[in-house]
Amino acid sequence: MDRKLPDMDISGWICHKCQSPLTVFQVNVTYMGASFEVELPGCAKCGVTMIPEILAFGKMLDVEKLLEDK
Amino acid sequence: MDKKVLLALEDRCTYEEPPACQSYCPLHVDARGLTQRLREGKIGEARKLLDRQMPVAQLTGWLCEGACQERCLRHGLDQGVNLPTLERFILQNSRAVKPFPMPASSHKTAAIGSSLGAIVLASELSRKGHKVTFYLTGPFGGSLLAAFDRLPSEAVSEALDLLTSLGNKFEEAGDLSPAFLAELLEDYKAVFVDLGDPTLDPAALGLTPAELVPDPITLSSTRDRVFLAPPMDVPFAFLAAARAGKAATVSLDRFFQGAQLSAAREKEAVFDTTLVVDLKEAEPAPPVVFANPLEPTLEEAQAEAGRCLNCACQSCLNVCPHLRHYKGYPKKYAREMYNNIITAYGIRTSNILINSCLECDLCKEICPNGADVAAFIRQARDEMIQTNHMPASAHEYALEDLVSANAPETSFYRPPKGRPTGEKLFFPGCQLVASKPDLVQKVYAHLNEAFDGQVGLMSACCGAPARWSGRTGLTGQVTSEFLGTWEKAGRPLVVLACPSCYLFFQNEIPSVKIESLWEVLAAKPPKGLELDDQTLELTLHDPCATRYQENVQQSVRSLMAKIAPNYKEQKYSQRLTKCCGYGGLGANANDQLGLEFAKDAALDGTNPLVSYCAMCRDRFALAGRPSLHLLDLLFAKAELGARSSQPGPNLTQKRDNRLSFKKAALAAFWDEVEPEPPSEPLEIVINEELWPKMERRRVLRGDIEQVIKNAALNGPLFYNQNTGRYLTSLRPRQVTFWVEYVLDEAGRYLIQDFWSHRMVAQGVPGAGAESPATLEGYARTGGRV
Repeated sequence: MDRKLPDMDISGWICHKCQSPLTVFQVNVTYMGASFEVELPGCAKCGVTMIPEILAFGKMLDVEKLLEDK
Repeated sequence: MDKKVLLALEDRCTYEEPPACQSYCPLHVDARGLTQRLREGKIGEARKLLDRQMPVAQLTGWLCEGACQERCLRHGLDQGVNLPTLERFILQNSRAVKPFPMPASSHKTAAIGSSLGAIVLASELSRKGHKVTFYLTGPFGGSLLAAFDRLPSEAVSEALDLLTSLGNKFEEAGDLSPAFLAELLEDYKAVFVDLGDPTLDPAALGLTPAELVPDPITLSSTRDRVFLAPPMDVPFAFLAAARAGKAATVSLDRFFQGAQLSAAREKEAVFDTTLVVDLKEAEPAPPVVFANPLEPTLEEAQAEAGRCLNCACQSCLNVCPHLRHYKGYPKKYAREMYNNIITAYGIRTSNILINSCLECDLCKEICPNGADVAAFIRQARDEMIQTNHMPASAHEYALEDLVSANAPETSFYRPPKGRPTGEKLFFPGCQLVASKPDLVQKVYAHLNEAFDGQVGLMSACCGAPARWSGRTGLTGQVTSEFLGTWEKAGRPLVVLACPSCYLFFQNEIPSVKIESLWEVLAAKPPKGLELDDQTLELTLHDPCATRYQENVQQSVRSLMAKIAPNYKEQKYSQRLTKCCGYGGLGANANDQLGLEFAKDAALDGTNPLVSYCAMCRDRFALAGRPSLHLLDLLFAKAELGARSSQPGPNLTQKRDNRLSFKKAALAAFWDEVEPEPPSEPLEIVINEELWPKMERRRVLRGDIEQVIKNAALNGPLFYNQNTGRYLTSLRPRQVTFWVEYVLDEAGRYLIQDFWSHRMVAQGVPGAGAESPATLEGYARTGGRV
């Protein structure tokens, strides 16, 4: 999986708990034993990450299907 | 998977077999390919094909006697396609493909005589680098010019140019003698004697009569290193001679390599093809009269090429959208699926192909050899489950739906009211309950009236989705639960409304005595069957699960004859009926193809289509055809107009219908009234525009509610200061759901959007560790697994 994300609009989003704006950092994602490092928006304070729709129904879904067929 | 299973299916599929014109052509020229290219005006392409299959086409094409013509399947209708004239047209209107020069090998051959056998041999052998030296006993090709007076001398000189350009040489033979032959055998690796050349006296070479009879397959003489083309005294002599040249080429090439000469050469000579061709729709077309057969025009050639029936066995392709979509046929499919199953490492590219099949048996039924693709698919899916290679998402929703239908909130069994057991047990099936809960109640009331209150009721899923998905463990679990209940119920006769349940019971739990609801209703119908409005034109559809259930189909017809005597049959009906796409969970694994199936089965008319399967009825509505369930005709006569245009319930409504059916049926027939659950404190409003997306992604209202409830309890994850929207997620099972919403002033949750993913991402709460991607062994409680 590419580490770069498709263009995502994260303007205006803040972490509800920490009330801090989101930044982009490296996050580990796993599926069926495979593991990738990707850049995701999230809260630098508490570490909660956001998976936007464009990623969930786009690249992530493609990779899920690929891994399921392995 | 045992390779024998693959071979057995491959054997039954004749798609790859050549048509008769090709199998009976001594050179196996692909006449179908030539006529197709001519029809498309691709004369150069036709020439390439001809040059590939017909050695020295510029000469052989002129000499072709058209052995194919009387084998052509048109021959039975009118007259075989005139291929020799078409070949001449191609030769006159195109240029030969220049051969690729090969470096000369050390394996040299001498050819005595220059009839077609030796010419073909030299052309074919020299293309492999083995050059031939001709020892001419007369002018080159002279015997051919003498035997076929319309052969233009240019054809012979073009052949001579070709052979020369390929590096072959030409010498005068002079006087033939045994010493001459001995000398050639001394100088060359092999000697080829062309007995088709009448200027050559083989006896002069000292060959005995026995030595002059070549082996029919290898064309080798009993004299060491001597090969022979037989004399041209057989029917279709020219092409037989060309074939001899081709066969001798194979033998000599093998001889040079020290290989076995006769192995695996069965299909070199003419042979009977096993290709089965359906000529039912073939129209007669009189042969083209060529103004000058020696110089056919383009129009004439294309018209004659247009008469080719394009013989192929594609009965299954004609009826199955799956085969057409994946551009396959059973033999190709079987190989792809087999390779998929035995793949140890790498991508299993055919998973989607295996999981999109409906297992509906139409291809087997229509196949002249009964190739059983569905049985192969079943085995493939079973093995994918066993080896943990079934994609988790392929059948997930259907299996969750099974579990939900059999969960305590929805499923139930009750004996007839006031009795410990009953003679019959009505089992409507989970899809009918989900689609027509009101009518199921009416049917149950009718059955009890007809059978003196001796009918019990069971609402559950039979287990067919588990079987379709290859999960034998789950299938066994569901059937053994059913058997437990059935035993306690006093082993009643089970009355099944759903054709898929009927087939499943028949195959998986044959010990249970079953009867179709339609047989029961045909014997004891509700009163007043005939429709008041006999102008309503209805067409009957047979669900694919009834393909081999003639008794069920006939019962339905006897009911239809009373309801609407003028009802119509579909073109594909009874044994040849088409599946709506639900069968085999095809639509579950492949939504898009599933819709193609529904359209293919339903869109052969615009009047209401009547099915006796709830899945078929609702999928036909989805495809855009007005449709009714047979129960609509029997128990809701007054509402047919509205019902025929109604879409089927969505996935959430189906779940709700099962829940409310249980409540309503228990209250109506057993006076059991359950206390209402406490009212929901959260008010969740789903934007109307989101429902189609929820259907497509198989997301239920309940899924979204779960996420919101969690957010209400623990707080949402994100807030957007610009839009005022909240975003939150929950991973209740193998899927993480994200829901975007706004809170209005009244405290209502207005759902704006949702999405989901199966991957586990660090920092997304509720994810925990990734669980194994298998559905087997899921808990059977709560409707969610």
